This record gives sequence, C-alpha cells and structure tokens, in this order.
Amino acid sequence: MGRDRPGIVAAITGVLARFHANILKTRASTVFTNLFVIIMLVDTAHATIPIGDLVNILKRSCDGIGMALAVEKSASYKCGKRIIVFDLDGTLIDQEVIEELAKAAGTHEEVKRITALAMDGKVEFLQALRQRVRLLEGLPVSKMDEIRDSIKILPSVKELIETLKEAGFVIGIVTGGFDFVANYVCKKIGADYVFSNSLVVKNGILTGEVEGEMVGPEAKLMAIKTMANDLGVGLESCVAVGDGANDLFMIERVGLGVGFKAKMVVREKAPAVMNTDDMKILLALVGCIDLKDDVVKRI
Amino acid sequence: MPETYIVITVVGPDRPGLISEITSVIADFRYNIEDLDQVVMHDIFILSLLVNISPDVVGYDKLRKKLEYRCNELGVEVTFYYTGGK
Repeated sequence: MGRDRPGIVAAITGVLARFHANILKTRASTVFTNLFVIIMLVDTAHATIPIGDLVNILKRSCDGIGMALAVEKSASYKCGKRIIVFDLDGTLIDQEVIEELAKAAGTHEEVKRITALAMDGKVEFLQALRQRVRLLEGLPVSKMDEIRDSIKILPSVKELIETLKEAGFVIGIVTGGFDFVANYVCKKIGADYVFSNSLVVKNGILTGEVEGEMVGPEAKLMAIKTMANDLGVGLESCVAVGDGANDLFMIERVGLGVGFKAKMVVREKAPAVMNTDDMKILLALVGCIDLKDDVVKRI
Repeated sequence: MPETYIVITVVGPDRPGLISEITSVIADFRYNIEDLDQVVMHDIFILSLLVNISPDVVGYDKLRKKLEYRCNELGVEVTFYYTGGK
C-alpha cells in the first residue's frame, strides 16, 4: 500500500508473474482518499524461486515505487490482530534518548558510535547498552527531567493509537530504552503496557548501571508473550513494530512484524516494511481497513 | 470536471501472469486503476477493473483496441463498460 498512482498493480503483479506465483484472489481499492491498497492471496506452490527470495524481490519493487508491503501466511492473516507493540526510540519518538543523555554527560561521540553499531546489529544489544550506560555515570537526575520534557512524539501517533484502540487493539511499548521516557510516552499516548529498562540512581546521580533484568531482544518477545497470555491469544494475533536490530527477534516471531523506517538488517528480514511515517499506512498494514474484512470473508 | 470511468472485465482459463499482462497495458497508457477485484473460480480467472480515464478520455479507444488485441493473444475474453461518471 502507498500513495496512489498509475502502474502499481502492473509493477507488483509483474514480479509475481515472473516467478510463476499464481494470484488466486485480489482486492484493491483506494482508501483514506489517496492511498492505494492491494491485497492478494498468492499460491506459491509452483513458484520458481524460494518464497524468501520472492518476498525480498517484492520488497525491493515496492520500495522502488514508494509502497509498503506486508507478507503473511493466509491463516495468520485471517486471524484478527489484538495486540500491537511498538519500539520507542526511532519508532514512536524521533530521538534516541540515550544519545540525549550522553550529550548531557559529555560522552555523546562515544555513545553515538555504540548506538549505531547496536541498531545495525553489529554489536550485541545488551552489551552495547551496558557500555553506554556506564558512560552516563555521574549525570544528575535533573538532566533526565529536562530530556523527558524535550521528547517529541511523532506526529499522528496519538491519532494512530486512538484508531487502534477503537479497533480493539491492546497497545504496548517495548523498549530497550529507559522507563523515565517510556512511562511518560505511555501515559501521553494512552498505551496499556510498557516494558523498559531502568537506570540506577544514587544520591541524585546516575551510577552508570541498569537495574535488574534488562530488556534486550528476547525480553521484547517475552513482553509480548506476557500481553498475549493476559489476553488469552496466541503470538499470531500480535503485531510488533520497530526499527532496530534489537527489534528483529520479536518482528520475526509474531503474527505480523513490521520494520518501520527500519535499519537495513531489519528491512531485509521483516515480513512487513514501511519506509514512511504515514501512520495510515501502518493502519492498512495491520488490517484496520474495511477492505481486509472483505478479503478475509473470501479466503 | 466530473471523473470518467470504465469497467473492464476479463474472463478466461487461469494461469500465472494474467493480471500483470493486462494491467501493464493500462499502465503504459498512464491510466489509474482505482478498484480491482479478482478471483479464480474452478480454474477460471475473473478480473474486474475500475479505471479512471479522465486524464485522456479520447485515448480510451486506443487502450480498448490494444487490450482487445492483447487479451486475444492471452486467450481470455475482455469486455468494456463505459460508466461516464462513477
């Protein structure tokens, strides 16, 4: 799905035809006045290349014409989505909070370097987190308040969350970032769950340590499982949205994992990718459109 | 100015590539497909398209000839329904 223009159907179905994937059912229409959505049920039994390769070629074609793509098994697509979790930094907010902290601590260059490596998946996330938090040692707590007050939630996030709630979604924030921002954003947007890391404070300054069990890639998935348990649904009913390498673990294991303006390593592996922050596209991707009901009835 | 639409329906034996072949002809003419519905019923391919021809109403005849020719080659039947406005 993406901005409507001539040639979209031809471009996408051209890829499927080239590799002998047969389209069994299609519904396409314009939604939200200027977005074109095409939903296809595709039989890949006689495809000439493995599904993974086909999906990657489709992703590149969609990216080339500014379209977002989601690929789901039909059983998973049919089951209604009930839970959606978002990464925080780079997904719901525009900042990497740890870098803002590092600026205040005077260790920005070093922290920025490690963040970039971690987000690209070149350094293990928890190890990178420990290294970076150590560089924050001695920062007064008052700086955290200043940073929290400067947080900018991406435009249209509030509207997105409201629409998702109306559609019956339970909303979670799962972040390797910190509670003082995550709790604030959670409250601001009205999320139901929040899982984050906590910085240890002693005598009004940061000790350079993280409290208790840290939220790394596996813990993000555990958080989703907790939510799914509470709701009595399976992972196939869950959507995970994130941009960094530490989000990939959950993105690859839920019903629909969305790489949101994601780093290359995530883009290559996420079953759904969108490279714009137009949240209407996300709504369409997770099936919050009438067109989906229409298609599901006929699958 | 009111928008002008045609509905194109294509029916024939199913095989991979039909949507791609047909929609690329339309894309070549730079017309926009605004709605699309397709099923395979007992191995029969059925496609309907709502195409906005407003940008070049006069050129529609050329599209029609081209599509009739192409569908003949593909072994599928094509019909055109001129709606005027939607």
